[in-house]
Amino acid sequence: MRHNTVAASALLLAGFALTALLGGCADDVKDNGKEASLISEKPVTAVELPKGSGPLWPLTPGKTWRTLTIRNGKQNTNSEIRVIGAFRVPDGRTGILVHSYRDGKLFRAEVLQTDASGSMNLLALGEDEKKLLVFSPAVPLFKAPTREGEYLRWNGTAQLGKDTFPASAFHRISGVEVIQTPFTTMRAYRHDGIISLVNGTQRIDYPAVMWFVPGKGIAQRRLADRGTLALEVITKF
Amino acid sequence: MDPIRLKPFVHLGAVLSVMAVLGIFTGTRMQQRGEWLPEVPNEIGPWRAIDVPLESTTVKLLGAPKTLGRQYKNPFDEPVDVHIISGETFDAYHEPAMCMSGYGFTMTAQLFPAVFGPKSPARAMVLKHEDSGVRVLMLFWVQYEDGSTSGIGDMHAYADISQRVKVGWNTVMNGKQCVIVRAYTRLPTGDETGAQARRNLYEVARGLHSSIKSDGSIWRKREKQIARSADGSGDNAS
Repeated sequence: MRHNTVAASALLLAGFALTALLGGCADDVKDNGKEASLISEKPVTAVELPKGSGPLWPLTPGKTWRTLTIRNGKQNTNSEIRVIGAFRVPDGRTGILVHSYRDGKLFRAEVLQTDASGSMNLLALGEDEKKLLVFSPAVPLFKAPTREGEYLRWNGTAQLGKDTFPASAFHRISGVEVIQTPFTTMRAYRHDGIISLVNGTQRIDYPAVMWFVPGKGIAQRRLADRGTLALEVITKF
Repeated sequence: MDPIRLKPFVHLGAVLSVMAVLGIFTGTRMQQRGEWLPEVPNEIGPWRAIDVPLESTTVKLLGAPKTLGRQYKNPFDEPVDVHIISGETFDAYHEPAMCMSGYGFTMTAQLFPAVFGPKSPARAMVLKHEDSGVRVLMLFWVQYEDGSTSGIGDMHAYADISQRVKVGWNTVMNGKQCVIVRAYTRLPTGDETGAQARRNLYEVARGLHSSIKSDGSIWRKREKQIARSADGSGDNAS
């Protein structure tokens, strides 16, 4: 009787020990669940990349992207992004001037620096080339080759005329998205960016989201337009 | 009463007494192992944190351990929430999927990736809100003072004896301080692949792991110094 009780107790304890040791086996879930790719860094199915090769935003002087601007509560308007050519900012640095028009009127000027690899920096930004915020050093927008999730942080200054403001920026290739314009559907790299200026106690943000197709350039762009969002979609590459 | 008839009860009583003593020992040991609540950084790369303390009902549910709640945001205002919980009670290991089920979430995926290096896993989960379709991506791990981790599996409170025994065994036997970390983020609607939300979650989790590991080494040095001071060798050193 005594032996039986001891044996039973030993068995019980052994059972506990075995359960404890084998408890980890349950962790090897063979079927990880139908949505495992959402949480795995190694998704089973590779993401289909945008078609095309070359720089994300090729800046050949004269090149134009015709777009349609869509805003809530406003009529759609024709718009355009046009590469003007080489431009020198007041401190002597140079880049390529790009104009953006809406209904034929210039509303945005950018001076961009690019290199042979396809990396791009923003040297200056404004309503036109007479009112440019000039960044020191130039703000890195993206690097080549394109890597999903890669982000670039920047701290520097922005100069407008004689005024200089401390500034920071954050840009990122967020991923591949399927974009649907009224005219076509395509895969593009989504590029998120924000430039922030500090003027005294006030912070001014310049957010922008752009979608690029390699070798072709801007497929879509979303800008803040005086408090409302303006979406520019490509009509034809 | 026949003493022979009482004999099995005597043995049973002995086993129960041993278990009770073990329980008290485990509880005390667990409290000792859960003294540590590491400091975590206010910034992890481009992420900045604000304190978002855990709700009092949640803390109570976890057995009132020491807790720290934070929300990290990047310049695009994308959030990753973090709970750090000292491992001083069994209930602190409360199954997060079970907590969330109270709010209408069900777990749709679970895996144990080596997030912090080989043999340093976390438990990765997808929790889906059945009514709204909102998804939450979560990483859940136990981190010891030396930086090692365990991606502890399902522990449905009192129902899962194996996990409780495993947790108890680890806590009592390995003698290291540990904390429980939950990091989670909501999958924005329209983000079908979850790629960016997942990258955000893993980046913050790795930053946290690294800072908790650093804090763990500071803790260990301090503990050793206190021990040396206690046995008098600290005076000799100074």
